[in-house]
Amino acid sequence: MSPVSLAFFTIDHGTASTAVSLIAPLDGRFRLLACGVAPRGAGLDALLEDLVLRVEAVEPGLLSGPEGWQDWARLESATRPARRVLCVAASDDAVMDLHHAFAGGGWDVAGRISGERLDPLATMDACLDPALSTLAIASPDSEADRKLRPRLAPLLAAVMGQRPDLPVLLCGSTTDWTSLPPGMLWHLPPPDHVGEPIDSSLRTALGVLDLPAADDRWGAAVAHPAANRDLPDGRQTLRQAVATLATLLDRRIEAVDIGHSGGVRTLAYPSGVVGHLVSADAALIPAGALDDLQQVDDIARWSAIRADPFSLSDRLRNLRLSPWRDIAADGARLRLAGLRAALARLDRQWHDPEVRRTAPSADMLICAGGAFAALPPPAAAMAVVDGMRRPGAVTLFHDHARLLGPIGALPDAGDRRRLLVDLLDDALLPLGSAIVTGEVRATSRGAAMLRVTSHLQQHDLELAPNALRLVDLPPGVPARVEVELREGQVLGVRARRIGLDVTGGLGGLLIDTREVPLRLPERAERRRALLEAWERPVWGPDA
Amino acid sequence: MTLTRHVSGRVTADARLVALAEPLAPAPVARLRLRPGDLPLVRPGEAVHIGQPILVQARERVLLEVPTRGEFAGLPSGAELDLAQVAALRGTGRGAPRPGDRACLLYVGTDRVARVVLARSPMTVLCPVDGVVDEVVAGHISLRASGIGLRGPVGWGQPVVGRVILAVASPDAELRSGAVDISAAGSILVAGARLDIEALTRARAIGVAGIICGGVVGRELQQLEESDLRQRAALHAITPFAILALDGYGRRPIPTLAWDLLAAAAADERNVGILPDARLAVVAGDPSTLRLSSWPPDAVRVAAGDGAGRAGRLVGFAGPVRRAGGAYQSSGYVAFGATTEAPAGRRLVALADLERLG
Repeated sequence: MSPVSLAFFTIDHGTASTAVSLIAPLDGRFRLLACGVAPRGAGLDALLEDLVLRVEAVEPGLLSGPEGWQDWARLESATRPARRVLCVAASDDAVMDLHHAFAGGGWDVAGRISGERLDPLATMDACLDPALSTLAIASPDSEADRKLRPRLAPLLAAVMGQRPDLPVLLCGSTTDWTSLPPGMLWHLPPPDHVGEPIDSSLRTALGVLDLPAADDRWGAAVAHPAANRDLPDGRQTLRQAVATLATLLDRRIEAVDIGHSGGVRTLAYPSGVVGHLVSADAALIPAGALDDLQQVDDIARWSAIRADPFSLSDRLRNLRLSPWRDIAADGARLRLAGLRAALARLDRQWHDPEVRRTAPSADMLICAGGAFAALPPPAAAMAVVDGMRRPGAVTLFHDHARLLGPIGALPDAGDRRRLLVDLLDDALLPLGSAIVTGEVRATSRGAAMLRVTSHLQQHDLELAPNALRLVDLPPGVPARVEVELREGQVLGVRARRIGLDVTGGLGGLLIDTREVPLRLPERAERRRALLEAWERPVWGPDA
Repeated sequence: MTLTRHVSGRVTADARLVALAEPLAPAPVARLRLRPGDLPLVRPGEAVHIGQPILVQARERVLLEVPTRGEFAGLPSGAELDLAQVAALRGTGRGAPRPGDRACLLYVGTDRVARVVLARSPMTVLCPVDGVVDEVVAGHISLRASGIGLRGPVGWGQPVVGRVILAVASPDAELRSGAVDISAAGSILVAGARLDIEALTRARAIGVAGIICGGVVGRELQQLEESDLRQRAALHAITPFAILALDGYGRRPIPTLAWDLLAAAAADERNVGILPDARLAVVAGDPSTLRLSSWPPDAVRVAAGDGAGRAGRLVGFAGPVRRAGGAYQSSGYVAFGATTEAPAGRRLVALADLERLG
C-alpha cells in the first residue's frame, strides 16, 4: 500500500479558530507531518493545501500523489457555542440539581427560577428573551417539589403558549405538568443530586439530544457555519481520546481544554473516565463578561499589566470578541490572565463543595484548546499551577496540534489506540513538570531544602516561602527531586525526606511554594507587584 | 487548485489563509425586542417605512395580582385587558392601575389570582428601516430590511434613524466634541476610531440620533448607561439615541468595508437606521446604486496591533515568527501604499491580525 493512500487530515473546528494537521505513514508508523491554525473565517481548503505544500517544500516526494490531497480522508470534530438554557423547578433543591447537570454539561445557564421564590414578571421576561434557546424543567420524584408545582405550571403553560419555538425539556416525571402542551415537551431523566463533573443519566441524555439549531442572530459575534452541525462534538471526543490514552499508558490522565466558547476538564483512570466537566463559564473570556463588569474585574485581578482598569476591561472584552488578534506586545500576558481565571473557574466547578474530600488527581495533565496556544510553555505551566491548585507533582503536556479531539472522533477504541500509539510523541509536547509544595514556613531550624538531580546537572534550592522558581530541565530529561524537611509538612505529607521523579519539558520544572489556595492581595498595586514577581521567571527577556 | 505555487521552496501568498472581514449583509433581518406589556403596532407581511410607529414600549412595568372569579378564563397570555375591569377587581390602594396604563395578562394561577403586568410611561418607537415585517411574536418583532446591513459587536440605546454624516476624515480618526455642531441634529454620525465622553455628551445634547464608530470605551458606555438609568428613574422624556461600535471596545478604527459603505452612503445622502439590540446598522435604499470599492483577492487590512486600520496587499508568507513573550505566530508580508501619514512600504504582520477584504 502506498503511503499516500493512508495520508489524512485532522481538523478541529473551534468556535474561534480551526486547527488542521497532516498525518501520514512514515517508516512504518503514522507521523504528524505538518500542522497549522487559523482564525475562523480562513479558507479550510487553503489551510489543508498549505500543509501539503509545506511538506512538499521541505521534503519533496515524501507524499506521493500530493495533487490528490483533496480526496484524502479527514478526521474532524467541532466545538459549538453553548446553548442558552433557563433552569426552572418548583423547589430550590431541584433547580440546583438541574443547574449542576446543565452547567457541567456545557450549557450556558441564563438563570435559575424556583417556585419557592417566584417573580412572575421577571420570569416571563426571562422566558421571552429571544437569546434563550431552551427551557429546562426539573421534575424529581420528591413530595416537597410536587407540592410547589401548581405555582409554576400555569406560568410555564403561558410561556409555552407565547413561545412555541422554544424547546422545553421536562427532566423527570410528567405528573403535575398536565397543563403543559405535551407536543412541545422533550422528555428526559430527572437530575441527580451529584456534582458538576459527575455523569448522570440526564447528562448522558443531554449529550445525544438533537435539538433544532439555535437561532444565533442575537448571539455571538463570531459566525458558525451550519455545515459543522453534523460533526462529532469536540468536547465528547476529547473525553474519548483521554480515556483511550489512560488505558493505553496505564496511567491516570487529566486533560483541561480552555477555548473561546467553553472549558473542558476530563479525568480518566485506566479503568475509565471518573470525571468529565464541560463549562461555558470556563471559556477564556465568558460571553457574560461582555455585559457583566464584575466578571471582567474578576479576570483582570489575575493580570500584572499596568493599565487603567477600564482600558484593561476593554482589552479583555476585545479578547472575547476577537481572541486571535493582538498577541504581540503584552497580548500574551493578557491571555495568561484570562487563562488563569478560566482555569480557576473550572476548578471551582470541578470540586463539589458538598463533598469534603480531596478530589482525585492525575499523573499527567494534558493542556488543550486555543487559549494555551498563545502562551510560551513556562507561562502555560504557570497558568495551570495558578488556576488548578493542589499540592503534589504533575507532568504537563500540550496537545499543540489539537489532535486529541479529532482522534477521539474515531468510533472504534482499537483504532484510537493504534493511532495514539504512533502519534503520542508528535501529539503531546512536554511542557514540563510542576511541584506545588503547599505553604512552607521558614522555621528556627532552617528552611526546607530541595535537590533536583538529573544526568545533566544538580540543583540545590532552599524552599523559600511564597515563591515560584523555574529550574531548567530540558524536554524528556528525567530527574529525581528530593525534599528535606526540618519540620512541618510539604506536598501534603509530614515527613523528613520526600523523593519523587519528574520529567523535563519546554517549560522546565516549576517549583511552587505558594499557599494553596492562592490568595491575591485586595489592593491593586500590591497584587500587580506580586503577580509580576511570580511571572518574572516565565517570560523571556524580551517580554 | 493545483500544487504549482512554489517559489524557491516557499509558497506564494494565498490570502485565503487570512480570516475574511465581517461582510456587508444585504437585506438583513432586523429585530426589535418586545417585553411583557409592549404593544406591537405592525403585523406579519406588512410593509414598513422609516419613521413609521412600530411599537409602543413601556418604560416602567408593574406586576399586579388580581383576584378573579373566572373573568379572564380563556384569554391567552399577553392579551390586553380592560383597565377599568382590572381596577374594579384589584380595588384602589397602592399599586392600583392609573389612567394611561395598559394592562396585559401574564397568566391566571391555580389560586385564581391573575398575574397582570401594568405597562406605564409609554414611548412610541419609530421604525428605523424600510422593509417587510417577517414575524411578530412574544419577545420580538422581526423585519426583513431593504438596504444593506453592517454588524458590530457592541450596541447601546434605542432604535434610531437619520441621515448619515461622516464626522471624521478617516476611519482611524477620533471624534472631538468641537467637531459636533448643531447641523448634525437628527443625523447618524460616523465617528471614526473612538469618541470621547465630551463628544458623546455634546452629540446627545444637540439631538444627534446615533453614532457609528469603530470602538467605544467601556467607561464611557457605563457613564452613558448610568445617565440613562437616572433619566428613566425620573421618568423624563428620553430622546432616542444609539451607538453601534463596529469593531469592539477601546480605540478601534472602523473596518474598511464598513467605512467604504458609510462613505458612499454619506455621499449619496442616505438614511441609516441603528438597531442596537440586534447590533446592526442598515443603510437604506437600493444598494446597487452605491459606489463601493472593489478589492482584489489579496487585499487585506491590519485589524489589530501596529498600523491597525491600514489596508494593503498580502505579498508573501514569512512562516512562524516569534512574538514578545515567546509565542509563535504565522506571519506574512503586507505591502502598503503611501498615505499622508506613512510612506509606501512592506511590513511583517501576524496573519491573525489581518482580515481579508477581497
